[in-house]
Parts: sequence; structure tokens; C-alpha cells
Amino acid sequence: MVVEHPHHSRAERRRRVQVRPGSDGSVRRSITSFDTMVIADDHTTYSLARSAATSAMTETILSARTLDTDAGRTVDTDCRTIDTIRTAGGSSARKKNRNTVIGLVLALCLLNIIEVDVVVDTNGGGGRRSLLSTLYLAGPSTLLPWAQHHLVDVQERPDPVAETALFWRECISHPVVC
Amino acid sequence: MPRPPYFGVSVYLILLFVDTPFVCISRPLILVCVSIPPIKHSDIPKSGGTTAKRLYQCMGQTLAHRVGADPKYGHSEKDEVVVFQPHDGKDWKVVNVDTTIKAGILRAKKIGLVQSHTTDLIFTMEPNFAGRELYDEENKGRFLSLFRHPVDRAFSMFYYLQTATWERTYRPEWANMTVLEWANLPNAEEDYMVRKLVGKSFGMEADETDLIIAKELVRQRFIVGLMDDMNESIRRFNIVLGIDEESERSQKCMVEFGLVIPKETEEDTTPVEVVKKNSNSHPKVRFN
Repeated sequence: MVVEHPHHSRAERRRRVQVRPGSDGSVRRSITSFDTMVIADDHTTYSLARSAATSAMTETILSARTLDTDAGRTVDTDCRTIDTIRTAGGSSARKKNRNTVIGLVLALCLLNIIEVDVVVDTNGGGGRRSLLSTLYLAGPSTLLPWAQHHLVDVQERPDPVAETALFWRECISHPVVC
Repeated sequence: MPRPPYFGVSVYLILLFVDTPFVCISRPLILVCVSIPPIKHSDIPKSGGTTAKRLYQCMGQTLAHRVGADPKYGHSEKDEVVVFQPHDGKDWKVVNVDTTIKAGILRAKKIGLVQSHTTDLIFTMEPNFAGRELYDEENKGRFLSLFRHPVDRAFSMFYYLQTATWERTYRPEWANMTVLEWANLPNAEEDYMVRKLVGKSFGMEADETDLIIAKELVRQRFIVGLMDDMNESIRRFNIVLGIDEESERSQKCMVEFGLVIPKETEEDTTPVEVVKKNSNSHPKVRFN
């Protein structure tokens, strides 16, 4: 990671603030535990702004740009590590992804409500077909496996000798009992 | 008034509008109410299964249903399929298993009922279980069923069980109740057909996916008959069962069950006024 500071020489700046993740265990830990490195004032002090870490990444090549708010300067922060590092840029991207996911979930929820409450298609007039049914009709058969293999298709020519008819008689007792 | 779908309908409420009773059935966002049809004691509707059973017995088919496993005939414990005539003087033939219930289906499987090819028509109240257990790739089955409007079925059950002393669920106490009183009892059935087709018990939730699976099963594998159109239904059943409707015996049975008009009365062309069920001109139920 290279952080440039306006009041240090280029070499010093590199020496003082260059951090190679993994060369020192403690530094590595500190780097990996912070998401954002922000210049807090215009001379000497750097502060690390902590932000929440939520998930681990095993191999990350990250390029982040942070803003020195007091000095009004921009410093580039390059960070290369194979450990878990979270930066402002990553957090922002993740936030964006999260928003996308949330949006998608909300859209699906909305779709589910529509699927229940709104007539998508009518079946020859008077009928009601939900989105689920519409999708089903456009897809492969959902015939139960035993029915597929044990029963004759209605379109097959009847063969009373080879097949045995089964009559489903509805329960004439109480349906809960049957 | 459009009839609701035959699947997944719940009878849940009866409302009384002045002196005309209605039964309402519900699906999500659909509420359909129909007036209660008049049912006199002599008009107690029988189930479609009972009619079909008696008709095909009459036609000489060998059936598997509850009668065959009655211990009084002495074949209920045998480890092989036995075809016998339970009633003297009638050539009605049954086999010695009760395929209407799960225990009987398992026994039928054990003794190889379908594989024996001794039975023309198997009756069951467990289509999913029977289809899974009784048949195999080499011995396939063909499903037949009579579908009925769910409100009709509910009424049928109400009136039938008042007098059906032979049923395990005979309910003599219902005979003193009005339809409204009965409907307020916790008798409501819910998604009966779907549950039976997908093999879900009444303790399990049935959702729209189950409905889709059930409908697909019916669409691809059921010869569908409608209780409202018995003539056409039986005609279709006869075709797949290989029954010659024109034979003397078949004709006699069809006449007996009111499925065809006797030839000697066919020439009587006196128009008969047909009153559509639940129409305004249809008499309504009287309540106590």
C-alpha cells in the first residue's frame, strides 16, 4: 500500500507509509482490520477510519482512491494483498451489489404479490391463470414419476387386456376420515 | 353463474338471504355462491363411485372393492387372489381385497392383484397410493374418475350419511339438522381432490404447486367423467374398458341405471321440461 503525503519527501513518504501486507504480522493485521485509510489532517496525522467488515475475500487486488478532506487533496492508495482487505471502494461496490440484491428481492416480492392478485391471463374466458401456472404451462411436464411409469397415457389406445383400470371413487364418508 | 374449478375449493360458509339459502365456496379472490338445490329424502344422491360400481357389476365385470374383503365370504385372509360371486343368483364378481383403503392396497400388492390380471376394475379412494403401489412398468393402470361439483359433493355427503347405516361414518344425528346447522359444524373439507391426487393428508398444507401437479396428473392420465353428464362419462369409460354397449346385457344395465332410454319408449317424443339446476325456476330447499 502506498500513501502519499504532501509534507514528506517522496522517498520518505514511501518509507514511512508504504506498507507491504504480509511483511509484518502486526501491520498486516492492522491493515486487514481496517477498511479505509484516510488522511485526517494536512501535516502529520493519519487516521484510519474503521468501517464494518462483513465478509471475507481470499484473494483481492484492490485499487482505492481516498480523499484528503482537510487538505483538499487526493491521494492514491494502492493495495495488493491476498488477505482479506476491505476498502472504501470495495465497500462502495458491495453496497451497490447489496442494493442490487435488495432491489431484486423487492422486485420478486412485488412479482409474487402480482402473481396472486392480478389476472395474468384468462383461460378461454372466465378462467384465471396465475403467473406460476403460466410459467408451468410453458415449461416441462410436472407429471408425478409413478404416474409417468405406472399409468397409461390418456392418448394411448385402450388395451383392456394389458392394462387394469382403476376407478377413483370419491370418499362418501367424511373426507377427513377417508 | 360460472362454476368454480373442481380443484381446491373450500366450502366454508353458508349465508341466509331472506328465505333463500346459499352456499358460498371460496378460492383466493374468488367467491362463488350457489343456491342450495332441493333434495328430498327419495332423491338422496349416491356417489358416482357407487353408481359406477353397481353398473359394472351389472355388466359382469370383475371388481375390486370393499365387498370382496368382507370376512363373511371367507376369502379375506387368503394369500392369493380369489374371484368369487358374493351374492347368490347374481353373477357379480369381486376379488378378495379391499382396494378402497391403504391397508387393503398393500395387501393387494402383496398378493399381486394387478399382476394376476383377474380384475377388470379396481375401486379406490386413494388414487395416489394405489397408483404408486399396485402398478408397475409391465402392468400399467388406466385411471378413471367421475368428478363432481364440490358443493354437490358436500350435500351428497350430508344427506347420504344420514341414512347410510352400512358406512363406517354413518351420521344419524345429521338427519335432524338443517343444512345450515350442518354447515356450521366443523365439517369443512379443504382441497380434497388436490390432496388425494398428490398424496397429502389433511394435516399437510396444499398449495398452488400441488394444484398444478394434480391438474397435470388428471390431464395426462385420467379418463375424466363428470357427474353432471353421466351418459357421456359412462360411454367413455365403456370404450376404455372394452365394453360393448350394444350387447343385450349392457343395454339392460344401462336402462336399469337410467343411462339410456328403453327402446320401447324411445318413440314417445313428448317434450319434457328440463329445469336447469339452481335456476330461478328450480324449487328451493324448505327449511324447518
